[in-house]
Amino acid sequence: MESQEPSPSTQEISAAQVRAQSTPEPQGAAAAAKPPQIPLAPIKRVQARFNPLADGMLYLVVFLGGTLGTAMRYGLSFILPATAGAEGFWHAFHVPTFTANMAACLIFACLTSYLSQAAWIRKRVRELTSRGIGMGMCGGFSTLSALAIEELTTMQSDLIAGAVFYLLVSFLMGLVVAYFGARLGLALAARKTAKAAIVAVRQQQPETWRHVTAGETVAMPVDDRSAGAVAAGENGDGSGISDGDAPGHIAHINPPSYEPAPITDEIPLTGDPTTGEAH
Amino acid sequence: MLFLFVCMCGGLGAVARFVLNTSIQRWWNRMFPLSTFVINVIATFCAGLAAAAWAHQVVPESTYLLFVTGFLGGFSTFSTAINEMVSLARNKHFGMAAFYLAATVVVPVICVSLGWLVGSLAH
Repeated sequence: MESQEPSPSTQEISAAQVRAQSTPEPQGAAAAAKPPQIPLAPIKRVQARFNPLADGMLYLVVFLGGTLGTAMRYGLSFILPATAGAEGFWHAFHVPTFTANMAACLIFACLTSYLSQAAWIRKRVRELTSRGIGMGMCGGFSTLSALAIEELTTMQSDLIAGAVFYLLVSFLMGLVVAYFGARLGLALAARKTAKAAIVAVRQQQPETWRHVTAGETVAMPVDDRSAGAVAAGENGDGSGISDGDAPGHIAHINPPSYEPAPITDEIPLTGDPTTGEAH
Repeated sequence: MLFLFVCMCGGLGAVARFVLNTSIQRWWNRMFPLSTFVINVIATFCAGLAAAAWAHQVVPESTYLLFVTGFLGGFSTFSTAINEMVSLARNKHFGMAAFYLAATVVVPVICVSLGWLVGSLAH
């Protein structure tokens, strides 16, 4: 019996060991400055998991997003006046294209920065949203070709100053709008993260929470099982909740047992490459 | 009806951009966002061609609308280019961001003029 008891020193995992396991460092050829690139197996190149071009769903969302974006841009050209002025300097300024480009910049920047932080959304949903709304809708909404044609026609009618002004204002305003859109997206994501953190902390600390030290006997409240589980976990002793399942029954008071906490860490294995054995 | 077709051409343009973008990004691994730049260069050149064709009355207005407002509008992108500049600048690559900005301002104007010239030449 005495010999079967594991000695305490073998159950401890040194901090260095934990660190070595938690941050794996590349070894062998992978540790080189330029690690060798392993090409994807041919069968995997046609699988949607590895190749976005083989993903039919992406084509669909990009097509739908592009259709919607083009509808918005084309619709704007009916609603807004074509140019800011009937003739002269402001005749070079095309309001519908400018509005569409600015709105698309804002939406795109906000969306991409928000999705980059949104760990609570599933990865597939994030990818489809980013492709559909970001690449499809915003890309179809904004346009550079219309801008270029407008530049061309304006320069042909000798409104050089207006053309240059329109081009520069488009790009500078676009940069400013995109910068603030990115800031807005990050702020929204941070707010959502803070809310989620507050909810998680509240769930972890219910009203009946109290600290239990080893050797102390505790009468568990039965109606709140999560509180009992937390208290028992603190004690390293699961006996408290085993009797507390019947509602309205005060838990049976047990002296704490001194079973050591089980080691749940994986046993470190070093494989022998020649024999395939693990020591 | 024409409105719907124009919108669907825009969707096709977006799909074409998606395919080209992914294909270019597969082998291009430098910092310069080549895929968006190439897409915009192609789109503005075609826009110049189309504008020349329309100005010389080679094609009816509906074709011009379908191709330029629809397909090329969905194919070319302003928002992606601007956001690539902003993200380059946010990652402290100011030189590259400025270079990309200058290229995106100047090259499309040159391309659309070239397209116009080629289109006029053919006429």
